[in-house]
Amino acid sequence: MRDLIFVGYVAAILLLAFNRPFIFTLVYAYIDICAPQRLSYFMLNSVPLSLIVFGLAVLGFLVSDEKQNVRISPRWALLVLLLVYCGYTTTVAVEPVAALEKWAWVWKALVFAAFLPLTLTTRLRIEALVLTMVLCLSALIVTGGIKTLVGGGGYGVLVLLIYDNSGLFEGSIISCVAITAIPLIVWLAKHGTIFKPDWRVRMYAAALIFSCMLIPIGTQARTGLVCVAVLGLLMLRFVRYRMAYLLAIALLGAASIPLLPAKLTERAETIKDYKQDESASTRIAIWQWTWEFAKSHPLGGGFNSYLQNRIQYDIKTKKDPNNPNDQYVVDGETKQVVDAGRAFHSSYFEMLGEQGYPGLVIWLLIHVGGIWRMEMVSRMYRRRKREDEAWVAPLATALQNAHIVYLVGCLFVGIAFQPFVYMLVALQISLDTYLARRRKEATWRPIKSLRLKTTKSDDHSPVVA
Amino acid sequence: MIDNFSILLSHGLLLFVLWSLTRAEELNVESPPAIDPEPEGFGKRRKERIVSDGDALRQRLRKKSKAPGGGPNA
Repeated sequence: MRDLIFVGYVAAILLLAFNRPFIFTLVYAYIDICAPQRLSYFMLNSVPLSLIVFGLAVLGFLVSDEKQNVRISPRWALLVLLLVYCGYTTTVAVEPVAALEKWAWVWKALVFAAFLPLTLTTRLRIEALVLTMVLCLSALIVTGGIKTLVGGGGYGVLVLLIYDNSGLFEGSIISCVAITAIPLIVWLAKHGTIFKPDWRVRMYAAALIFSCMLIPIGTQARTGLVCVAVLGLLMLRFVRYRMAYLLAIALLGAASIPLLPAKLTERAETIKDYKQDESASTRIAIWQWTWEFAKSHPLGGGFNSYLQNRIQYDIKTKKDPNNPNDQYVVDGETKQVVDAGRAFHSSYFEMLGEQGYPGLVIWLLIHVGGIWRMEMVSRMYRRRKREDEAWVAPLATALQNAHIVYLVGCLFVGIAFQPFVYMLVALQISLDTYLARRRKEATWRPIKSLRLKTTKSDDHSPVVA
Repeated sequence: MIDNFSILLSHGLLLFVLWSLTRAEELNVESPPAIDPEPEGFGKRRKERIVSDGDALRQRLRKKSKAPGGGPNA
């Protein structure tokens, strides 16, 4: 039954897209984020849905879009460079088979991110993509939020639509991305034109933001808690009454701690005490290995090069409070742990280990460059004071805040090639080039030749008026 | 049940969005922006230079026309 519904739904939205070919781009974003072929049991699985829809999106762009409005920028060129460089490192990867597996989806994410700025040439298209991304994400967030409210969730326990531990269905990743989406939800609620701001839109936005905040609680991912803290600090910048805001946050935090699941507060406490926490010690050992690996492979080891790691680290043991009589565990005793093939657990080290120093530099330029450009756009448009541009500075700030939350969250999660984030980057590039084109079209133009009103005087000499 | 509710809500809203976009005129073509009444950024200096050049030219022409035996047809 679910299969039939999904097939019918995909057919319906594809039919709409034949009317307006740009919609194929939004349908591809839907397929990338929601993955209906994974939610379906077998019918959509047997069809290369994303390839077909991407082909239609490109065809639609070539046939129906105004090419004169297409602009490219230096960051767009960096995206293409990253794609080419990743292709190169895949050919010389230390783990060729595993590298090809990851390359099979990374190139799609990068190609789509490079395609988006070519087609996002109007304000409505930019807003439509932001709204599509948020609504697609809401399919995971709403279910996670409700399940957390009724059952409390759990680390590795909370199931978001399907049993899967990869992509957006994995706890740490969705908790980072959910918080990343909050600034976009706020912007849509205040400046949207597809769903105009009214009490229903604001209520839905508030409920969705609340669900986003519940995701780190439900997944018990510490990454999510760090992301919430970062977003709270970023919002301090544009809040009108800062002291009241800080007081409200402190009171809310203090009031909610007793209501949180005990396991979450235990996991949160391990952020301070990393020597007793095995996952933190594993991360540090892997990062040390990656640093040494990069010295012997400065151009990168290709995708999934972490499979080559062999790590060894010490951890201080602690008795389980639920089992205090366990004679095999001594409080404070040092235990040696040996492990192999552990993932990078950090996007920065993921880039270093897989793409080397050149790849890390390109990746950092793309991301840091985006934050800087959004800051420039935001400052410029706060000064311009045109009514028809009131939406610009808030969108630039929202994209910037979302990006910063991602860059902090990905310190501890290996999501360097998460497609959602590259759509965010593409939105920034599109906004920047769109605004540059519109500013040029709106530029004040002087009269080309000075026309002087002349009248003839009695001696026939010209008199300038 | 919760999963089905979440899928229904998100997919229903998305369908509405895509349907409303098929009727939106500004999806493919936007009306051009209004010309800035005053120049912005670097344009400000350009206007100031043009206006000052224009004023200087007018002053020179007035002086020539007032000068004895002056003017281009003199």
